[in-house]
Amino acid sequence: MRTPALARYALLGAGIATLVACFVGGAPATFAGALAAALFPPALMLLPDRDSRPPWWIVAMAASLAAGMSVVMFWSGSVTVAGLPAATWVSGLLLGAVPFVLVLYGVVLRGGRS
Amino acid sequence: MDGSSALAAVAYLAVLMAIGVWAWRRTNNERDFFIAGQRAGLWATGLATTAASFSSFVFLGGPGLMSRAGLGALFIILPAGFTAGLLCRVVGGRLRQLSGAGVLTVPEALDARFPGGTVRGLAAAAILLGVVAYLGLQLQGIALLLRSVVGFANPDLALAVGLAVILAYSVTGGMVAGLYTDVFQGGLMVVAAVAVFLRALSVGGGWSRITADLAAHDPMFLEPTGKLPAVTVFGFFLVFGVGVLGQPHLLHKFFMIRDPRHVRYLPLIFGGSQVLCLSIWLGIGLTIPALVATGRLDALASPDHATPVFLMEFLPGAAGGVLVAAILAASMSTADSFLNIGAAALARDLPRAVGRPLRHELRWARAAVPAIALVALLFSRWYADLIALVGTFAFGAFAAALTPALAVGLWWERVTARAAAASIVTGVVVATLLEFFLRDAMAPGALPAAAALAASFVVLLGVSWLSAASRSAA
Repeated sequence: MRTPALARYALLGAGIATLVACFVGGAPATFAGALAAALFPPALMLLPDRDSRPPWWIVAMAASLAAGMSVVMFWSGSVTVAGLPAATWVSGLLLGAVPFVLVLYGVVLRGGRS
Repeated sequence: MDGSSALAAVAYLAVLMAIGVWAWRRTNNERDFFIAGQRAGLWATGLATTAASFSSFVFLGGPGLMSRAGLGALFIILPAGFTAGLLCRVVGGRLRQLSGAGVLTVPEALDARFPGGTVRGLAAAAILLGVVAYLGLQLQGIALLLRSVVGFANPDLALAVGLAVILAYSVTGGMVAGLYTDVFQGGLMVVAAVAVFLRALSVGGGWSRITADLAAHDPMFLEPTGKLPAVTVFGFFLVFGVGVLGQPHLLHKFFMIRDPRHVRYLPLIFGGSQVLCLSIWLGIGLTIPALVATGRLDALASPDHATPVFLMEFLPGAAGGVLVAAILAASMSTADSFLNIGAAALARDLPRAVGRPLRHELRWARAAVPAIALVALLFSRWYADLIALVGTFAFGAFAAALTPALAVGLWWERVTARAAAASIVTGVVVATLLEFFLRDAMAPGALPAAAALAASFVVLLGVSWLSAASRSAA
């Protein structure tokens, strides 16, 4: 499957999962909605791509966001580091800082190439 | 407020007026009025986009929301790390490319992709509705600030002064004035935000002390989702992370870039300045609750008072004046951007969508600016209680209406005009129904804008696939 087609299927799946999370509720649906929220941005990033394989930095971004959302869902009440729970530090890094670095690398330095 | 704050506000308004006069002499045609003659450099575009993207919510509402809801409120701003890159890669380059072919507005870009006028007309109508709501909210914020800072006793007078300044430079200088006032305002916002962040850390006793105080007195505050349900924070992340692709006041900035190669480097300036600007959210949002929790500050009458209380208690004199000017800048830069795209929708897109372009477009666009401002003003006066809700709703409605048609439609040739139109209608209708009439149908804490955005994507993709399948079968 070519990358743009993969992106479109990911967007459709994420859209349906988000709707289920918004209307059904409950832990499994909410987790699916969280993963959907994580998949939307990298899937959109893939739309302009014409290669057969997605660029590694977009795959890494998807992995970082999905891992961050999983931390938010399943890890709380953890030990604190400088006052903040460890889960907060880790989710903040995975959802904010790592994607920031990857996007600067991919869009600015590489000009969006693989 | 002391005299320094009032002086800063007056000086700030005077600078805007001066830029308006300067821009007036450089606005000669529609291209100047709508896209600043496409003369914007990298730094100007980056700072102007940051100024337009952040309203007073970042300075007032955001720290207030964090004071009330804990770190879950950060899910609104966490996506700022990648939204600039997302915007530039997915839609920015394409929009800049289209502007080379004479496209001056977002609905016009959609018309270039989906000819016929229907998609353009629907997009322009959605933009006009959103502009009135969002502009009304900004006008209320400006009036509130002028009243409390400059000391206008009459709320209508405060509103009139704020509006008069915006109109003066928007009518005369169009987007040339909008661009360069936004550059000035964006720079001011970044400087003020970083200074306040550092001051907040100092007042709270440093990062470790602040977070340790919160951990000791209110541990839920520091959990990843704070005091909010998980479905709410994921909704924030989706709407603010992806919905940025459908915000016409940001997209419009790409038409103004002089050199298309600059789009690639824009995330550095736009994303970097956004991150710096958001430091104020973190600084005040953490420090005020920590001070209250440890008894060093009286409890706030309302969480929304976090920034005003910080201003009064810890930023006396000129420093407070700079923050006041920065908050005004956040509101006014967003307001002028909306006035310009609203004027373009009314004077250019709607008439052309029905096949009746206006003969003197520049003249009509100038006339449209005060007309739109007047409608927003009346709206904000008559529906004062409702406008915060409607203004917040407008961001989600823009996102749901325009994001799929632009982001997917500009790249996938199989998207039809019918699919794009269905997606725009779905976004607006679902967002409206869920926000105002059917909220109980949703899971507790779920965001109507998130559901509307998802529904709009599903409809766009679904209708496109079904159209292709029916064509193959035929």
